[in-house]
Amino acid sequence: MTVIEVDEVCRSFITGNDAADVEAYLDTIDPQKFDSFVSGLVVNIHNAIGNLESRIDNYYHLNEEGLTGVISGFLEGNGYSVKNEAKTRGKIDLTVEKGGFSWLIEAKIGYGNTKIFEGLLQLASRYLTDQRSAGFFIYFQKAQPTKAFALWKTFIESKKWVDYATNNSILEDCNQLFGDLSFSDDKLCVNNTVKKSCFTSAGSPCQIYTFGVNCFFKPIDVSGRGNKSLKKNQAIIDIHHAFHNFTAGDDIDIDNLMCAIDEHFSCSEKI
Amino acid sequence: MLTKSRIKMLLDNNQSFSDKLKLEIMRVVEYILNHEHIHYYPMSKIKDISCCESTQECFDVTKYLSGEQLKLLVPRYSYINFDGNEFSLTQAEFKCALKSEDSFASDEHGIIYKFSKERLNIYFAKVVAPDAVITKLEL
Repeated sequence: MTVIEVDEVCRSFITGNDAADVEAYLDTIDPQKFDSFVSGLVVNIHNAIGNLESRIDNYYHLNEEGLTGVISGFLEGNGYSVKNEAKTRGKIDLTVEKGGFSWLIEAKIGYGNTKIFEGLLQLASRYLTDQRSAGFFIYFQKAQPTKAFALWKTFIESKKWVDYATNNSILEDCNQLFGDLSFSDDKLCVNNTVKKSCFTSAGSPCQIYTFGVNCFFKPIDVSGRGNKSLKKNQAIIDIHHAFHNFTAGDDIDIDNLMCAIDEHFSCSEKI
Repeated sequence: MLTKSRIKMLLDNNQSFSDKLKLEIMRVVEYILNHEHIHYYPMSKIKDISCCESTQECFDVTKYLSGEQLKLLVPRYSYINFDGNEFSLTQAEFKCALKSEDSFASDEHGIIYKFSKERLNIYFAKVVAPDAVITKLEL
């Protein structure tokens, strides 16, 4: 009779990790229920965001598609099938699949709370129908991303979107989607992640996991101050933010905008 | 059809992979292609083939090999008794055993007493008829 020995590599993995980490691995390679799929995916998204943030000096200036592409690559490397801008009642930014389960993710640059809110409206009213949960990425490229994420949470929790919805004649629709539902606790919500219930356009309840991503990179050491490429990219980010704030009807600092335009042109000439 | 060159291209196109991880994955891919008769891939074998330095790296390799792009390997779960007998577990039984201290229940084998987590086993089986068929044409 063959005597099977304990596999040393497997033993080392199981004894060297918490049960929760081993479970997350199993939920990644072999999700057998939708909840397991979501648990594994959220852990991998956190890792992907951590990976992106740790190398943000390479990526801080990318647009929404570029930043989402970096996260997609990481998820693919962890065994997920990822489709960018797949047609699902419009072009959803990211569709992630594994083992027959799938998740839709919309992504937005954090230009301002009303712009971010538009992304949430897009996700809830356009793409989601009978999904039980979905993801929403917010990329913060300006200073104090943690504060910006906290302000976004307050915008939702305190229903500060009511004015915006009223001005755009969508208050009743927004109330149906988001109503009085608030953020709820979830063991998967670590770092800048929150979970909020909503109703889809089909009236089904759905949990939206929102991930705040720190894409701010503006070193002010001597090397950073003298780096023309960095200054030009920061100027472009400032100009984009000013433009989006202006179109959203928010106040913009004209002096800062003119400085950014000046920086952009002067750096373009010298590169 | 998924060929060796296609797999290499998928790896090269993915910026999240380090060059080291790409090499480790390709070593296992080539081994699987060159050993059609081998279907049983315990973790220690994958670690040896891939030349991964750490256990964690080895498990990262398996995530991709069993992932949606390749679907070359599929995970299996088992428990190896103190007498050296191995019996299969479902993933749900494996997860219960992970959280248990002294015993766990298996549909097939009833309650397992004198249980040790160290004897829980994850291994991989080659997908016999994978959705993505690998060809040796481009080896």
